[in-house]
Amino acid sequence: MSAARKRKKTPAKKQSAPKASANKKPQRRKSPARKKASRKKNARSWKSPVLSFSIVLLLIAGAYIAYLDHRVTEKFAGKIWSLPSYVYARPLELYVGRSISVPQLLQELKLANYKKHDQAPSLPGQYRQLDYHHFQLISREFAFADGMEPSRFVDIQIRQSRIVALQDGNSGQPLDLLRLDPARIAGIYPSQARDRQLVRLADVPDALVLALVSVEDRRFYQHWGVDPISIGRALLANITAGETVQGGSTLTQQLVKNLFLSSERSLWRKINEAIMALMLELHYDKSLILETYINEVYLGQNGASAIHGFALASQFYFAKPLNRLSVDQLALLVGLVKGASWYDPRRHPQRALQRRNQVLKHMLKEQVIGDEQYAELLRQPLKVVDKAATYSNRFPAFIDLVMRQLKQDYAPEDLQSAGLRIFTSLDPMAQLAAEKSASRIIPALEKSRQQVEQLQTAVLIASPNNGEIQALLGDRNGLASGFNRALDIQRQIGSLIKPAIYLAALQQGKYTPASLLDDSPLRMQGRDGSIWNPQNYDKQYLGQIPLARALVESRNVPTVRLGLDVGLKDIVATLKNLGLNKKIPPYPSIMLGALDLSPMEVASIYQTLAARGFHIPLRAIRDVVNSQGEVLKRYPIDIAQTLDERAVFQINQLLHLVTTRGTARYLKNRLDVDVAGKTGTTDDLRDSWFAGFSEDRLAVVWLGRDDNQGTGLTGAAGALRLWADIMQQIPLQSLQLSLPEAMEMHWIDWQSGGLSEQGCKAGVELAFLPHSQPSQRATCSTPSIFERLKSLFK
Amino acid sequence: MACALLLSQLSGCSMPVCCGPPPASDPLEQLNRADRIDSPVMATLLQQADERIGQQQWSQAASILERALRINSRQGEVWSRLALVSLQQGRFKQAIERARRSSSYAGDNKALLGANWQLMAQAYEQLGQEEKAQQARQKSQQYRESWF
Repeated sequence: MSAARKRKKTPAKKQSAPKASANKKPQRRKSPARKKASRKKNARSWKSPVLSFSIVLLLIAGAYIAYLDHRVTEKFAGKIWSLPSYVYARPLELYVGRSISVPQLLQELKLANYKKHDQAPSLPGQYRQLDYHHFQLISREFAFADGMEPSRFVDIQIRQSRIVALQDGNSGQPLDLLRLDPARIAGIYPSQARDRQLVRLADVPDALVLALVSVEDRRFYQHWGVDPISIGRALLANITAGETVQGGSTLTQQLVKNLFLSSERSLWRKINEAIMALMLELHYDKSLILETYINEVYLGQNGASAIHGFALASQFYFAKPLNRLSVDQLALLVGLVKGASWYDPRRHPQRALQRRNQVLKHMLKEQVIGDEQYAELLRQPLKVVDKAATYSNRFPAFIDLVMRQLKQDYAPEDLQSAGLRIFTSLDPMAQLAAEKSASRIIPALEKSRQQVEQLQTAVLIASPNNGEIQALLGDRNGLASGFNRALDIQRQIGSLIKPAIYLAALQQGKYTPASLLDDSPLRMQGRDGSIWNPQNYDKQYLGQIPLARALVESRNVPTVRLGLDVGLKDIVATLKNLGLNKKIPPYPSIMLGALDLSPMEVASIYQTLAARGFHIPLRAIRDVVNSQGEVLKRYPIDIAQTLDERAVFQINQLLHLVTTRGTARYLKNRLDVDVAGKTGTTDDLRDSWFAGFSEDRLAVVWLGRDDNQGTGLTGAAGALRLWADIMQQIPLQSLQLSLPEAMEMHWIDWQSGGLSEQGCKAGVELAFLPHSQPSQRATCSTPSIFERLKSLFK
Repeated sequence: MACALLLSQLSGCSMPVCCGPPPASDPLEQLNRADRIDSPVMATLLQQADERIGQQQWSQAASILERALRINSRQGEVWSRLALVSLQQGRFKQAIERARRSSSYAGDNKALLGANWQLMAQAYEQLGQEEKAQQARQKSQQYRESWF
């Protein structure tokens, strides 16, 4: 205001000056009035530059103060903090009949940060295991995208890996459904890596406020942001001591420093700090300033992540919410304000204890606590918990996928600062099973082949019916980040391509599962004169065999013949309909899998088979919610029927046979549910693949070496073993092959493809379109002794 | 608004009906009539979703229905409600695909198959594909007749 007034006066002075100087007529006699005017003129002549300079200086100072004021108000009016975004796993749904073992429930509770108690749980987030099968827990209230899930006290009983009772813990009434709050699996932090947990002043214990004010700024409620008395006292103390022993900064100044300024020790920074503190106090009341301080102050370091604010520090040091801390614990936190690293209670417990006791002494002095309480509090140990495992990147491959999908819709700055909550489809049960299996199967495979840590893997598990990715391994070590093989390797897929060729053939209508294919030597000449001589894996030829058998036993030569007849154009079209969204080279060699794909692309193809011809793009995110709980984006199921349901059904029947009598018959005795799948092996055993599905889960496993050398493993000897080990650990629904409308089942002889009698040992029951079954009949021959012996040794 | 539009159009689908049950005045009511839910979990979630549909909270309804599908993906009744939600959201192609998916799980539930064809007719109509809409209406009618 004063600057503005001065600005108004300035032009008037400037106008009067030229008038005076213009009067240059010689004056012989000067009247007293003229003398006075002349004196004024002389005075102006030396005063005006000083005045002008002062005015400019004041203008600059005013502008600078206005700038600082703007900085203060801008930050406070908007978001004071960058809130990191958090990524959540899928919530665990509990209902009677749900498959879950006791160890799996314990694992889920641990990941969702539930704490075990010996007594009945009394707070949300606690559970008690009454006996091995019987649990009581209090779930936490949680805002999901579709509404609030209230906190509940529940009683859960598990028998034979299934929930058999779910009741309200108080009333004993049965509960239909309970959704636990999901595990937080990652945080997306700003570049300074600051974690946050905000608390309202009303929820802050009084003892903390009193302790903080008594220790850091006794005159907080009296001063205007800067406290000359404190500064004077500090100055005196520092001069007496000959070094800096006391600071005179108010809480407001400390806050200003933390929010706006660097930590450099300079006069200029101090001046800025003082001006901004005054501005802050001018615009905002004490309670907002205090609340902001309580949420901002630096109180520790968790790896790369800084601990700011008392609420987060309370969790970090005591694993408790702030309002449940005892006075001695609050005193410890207040003590850390002076130097969180120097007084770190984990690294320097003795130093921390002394500091805590100093704070308690202050509290006694300010009569926050009485003598008796003081004596009692001094006897308390620090009670700091062990540092919890940090899950900042517990599932790196999956989080990598989430980040890639998020970056399509959000700017990195928004992800780091807007406090988003990202709900994903990660199923910890499936993910941890995949990690566990990889860590035990891969070394065993290497040992059996005398290889040393050369094998690598990629695993993707998804729900075929909604496209949600449940687990992702991009490395044999689930904790390793970096190269995400599940998304980024491009490897030949070998026989994994065969279902697409057979599907194309069945869709054309020329072929049925009983059509005979020629399994005899084949020699082809390319346009450039090169010779292609495809071979079966066993180097044998079986003559005329049914189409079904050629796929189930993964015969290469009849597949090439079939593919040539179907035509590359139809095969490529079928691959596209299966969900392969890339350019496919139209070479005959693709019929034997000379097509480079990632495990994710393979999963996309097999999802369409598993979902009976309905393609759903694979996704890892369900919803993105903002810090106010509003849904910003949903990633809904986007489904499209791209293939004939009946032809897909026929293929799925054959893929089921692969797991009972074909190349993956190893599974027959490994799993107690029906599944379907296909093995894949590439030249020189470089890549070992298995892609398979139950009713509710699809999994693709790749094993190979980063240097693309041979692994010594076929699909059946390598990837299939890992696949089976993973699937055996997680709940699976048996594959349900319900016959589509307008199809009929017929028994077919496995050797000749003729109609066989029901129940023939050498026969299989397969689906046909009406009137497409073979007309010739086969005798119900049992397999020859030679074949039976052969099958025994397979 | 969208609901009113749908209702008026669905009642327009009633055409001359000589036999079978009277057409449902509300598509949701029609789906309710087709329900063959025997699981209490599914029944609870469908009830929640129906409440949201009734309040025209399409996004929340979709979230609840997708939650139900995660528990049982073979529930045709859930897919048909998702088709209804897509229709209301103006995602007509998706409504058709979801209704198809529902039918693939409908088995011999003719009421559900009929309701799905009716939803598809509605979506085709919105897409300006009158011929397909007419065919779908006829199919819906056939199921309604064979139902009784």
